[in-house]
Amino acid sequence: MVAKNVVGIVLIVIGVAYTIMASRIPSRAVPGDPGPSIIPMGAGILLVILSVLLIVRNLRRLEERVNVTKKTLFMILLTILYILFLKYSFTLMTMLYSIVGAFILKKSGERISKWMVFLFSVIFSISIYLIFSLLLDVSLPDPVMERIIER
Amino acid sequence: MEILSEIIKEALNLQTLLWLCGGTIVGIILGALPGLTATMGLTLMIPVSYYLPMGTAMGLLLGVYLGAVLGASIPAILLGIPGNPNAIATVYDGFEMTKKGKAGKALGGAIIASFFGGIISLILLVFLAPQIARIALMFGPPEYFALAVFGLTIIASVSGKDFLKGLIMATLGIMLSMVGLDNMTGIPRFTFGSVYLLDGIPLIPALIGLYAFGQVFSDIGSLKTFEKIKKISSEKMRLKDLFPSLKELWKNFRTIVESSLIGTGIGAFPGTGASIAVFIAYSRAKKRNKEVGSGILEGVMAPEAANNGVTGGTLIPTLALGIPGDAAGAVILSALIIKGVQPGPLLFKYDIKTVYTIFFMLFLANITMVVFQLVGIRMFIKMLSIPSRFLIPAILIFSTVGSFALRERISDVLIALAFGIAGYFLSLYKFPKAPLLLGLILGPIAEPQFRRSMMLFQGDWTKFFTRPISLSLFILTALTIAMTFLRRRRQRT
Repeated sequence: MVAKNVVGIVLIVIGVAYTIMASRIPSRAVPGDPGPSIIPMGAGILLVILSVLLIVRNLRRLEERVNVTKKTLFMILLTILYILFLKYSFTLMTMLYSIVGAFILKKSGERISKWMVFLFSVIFSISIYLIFSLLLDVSLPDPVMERIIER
Repeated sequence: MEILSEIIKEALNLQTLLWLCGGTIVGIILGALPGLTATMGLTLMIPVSYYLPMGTAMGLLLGVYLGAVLGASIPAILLGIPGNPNAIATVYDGFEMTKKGKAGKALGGAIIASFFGGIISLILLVFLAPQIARIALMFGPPEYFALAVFGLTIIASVSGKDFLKGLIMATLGIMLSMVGLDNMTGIPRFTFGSVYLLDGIPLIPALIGLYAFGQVFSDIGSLKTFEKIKKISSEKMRLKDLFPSLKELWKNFRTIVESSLIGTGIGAFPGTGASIAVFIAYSRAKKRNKEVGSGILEGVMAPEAANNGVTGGTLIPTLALGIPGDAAGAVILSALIIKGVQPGPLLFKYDIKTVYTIFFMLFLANITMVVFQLVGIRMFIKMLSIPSRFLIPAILIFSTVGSFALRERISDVLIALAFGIAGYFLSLYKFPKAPLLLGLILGPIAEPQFRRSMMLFQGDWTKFFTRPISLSLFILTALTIAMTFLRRRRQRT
């Protein structure tokens, strides 16, 4: 019962919290202006109403079960780690990310050439770094590469 | 005329042409890979386009967009798996033709129909957009507010199978768009005291999150479809086998023109998109010719002309009103906004050169799309066998770099990732993403227009219904809601 309506319940909580926060936005007197809180409050209340409708409907109709694959979860976790550690060295992290990613994504029992994976990740990460830093002037965070290029 | 020759002279430089061609090739590849969409291609290119001059940037983006629309037909025809929603109706006759050994002709027919679709919609865009912009100049804040509400309702009603979920997503989009400084009073809203959030939720990282990170996370679960592609027989295809004969072309001419018009019309309607247009065009063709469905050229040409018809169509409201026709239009709109171009009627009044530059780039993109798909078809088919263990990390890395590149902030990447994870779970529960994006874009348009209207009306909201244009738009909105609920109810019983 609760598990089935978890999305609806979360949405209601978001809607209520949002509406309360919206009601606390200070207003400044501009004649005729309904103020900066009116639309957010309206949207928050609308979300609560729509979510209640969603729950009511779910009571009558069964939602399909969803399943998250292990591979997806691992990839999401890996991506979070990748982005958190990105600032230390873009190129190095990108290499590690694409190597580990390739092994997460391979089919079970499949044999893949480690050299191919390694080669791909080295070429890919270095070329992305060079394209963005040299061609588009984006300074990707990479103290290691900067030192190498400066030499 | 003078302005046109000036634009052509400016556009025809090596840099622009190279980016346009590169964009087209990337677009076709992304379009051909099942799961990767035109919107994703566009989104990934925005950060790159940001660093290019206006015309070049539009060349790149439109190249990717058109390429991805056409590229989707490759796996649809060869494997019976559409590259993206643009080609969902191409599958029927396209795959049947492949089974009959006529894959080459189906691919060629798709290319030719797409070209006609693109050019017809471009012509309509060139003639209609300025007229619509002229009418829109008469719009005041109440009309704009009504239009934004209408656009949001339409997109909530057509994207996905579930109107209620669409409405929830549109509301969430509006709620998120309220974060940051209120642009009328300067009061911070929902910033939780963070300086970073004062500017609001950055649109491009949000886009990359929803349409690149989120899409790829969803694709990981369906790895099998990716692997299936390896089994393509590498049929030898010569260029001359690709072209349908003039006689065949003439026979299908009416279908092509009609489907192109359907595509343009549907595309121009705010909130609707290619996935609807292709089905309408396909069923029109089927009604006229009973053989459609058994694997004939007409059944490939109808949806393919329609989906490229959408490309020009979607730009009509995007450019003339500043209200995107579909998700792809929304991305192009965001790309223009971050380049400092605000689409809408005033653009046509004060910066017609930019408008014509976009038209001209769309014309060039239609040509490069055909040329590269024809010349590179063999290579693109080979591309389909890139293992997903390389492809998926590569796209995720590109999304990371893309969300970082605009403002060079890791926090933007984290926002993108947050939207990506949210987008993944939302699509798992079958919540459509497009209304969220439209809410994010239209929220900041609708809110100030609403408040300005209220100031104009001195607080009396009933005056919204005394102005003819805003009244009709509100009636249309109410009708859309009523019709959608009725239709769904009928489908269920």
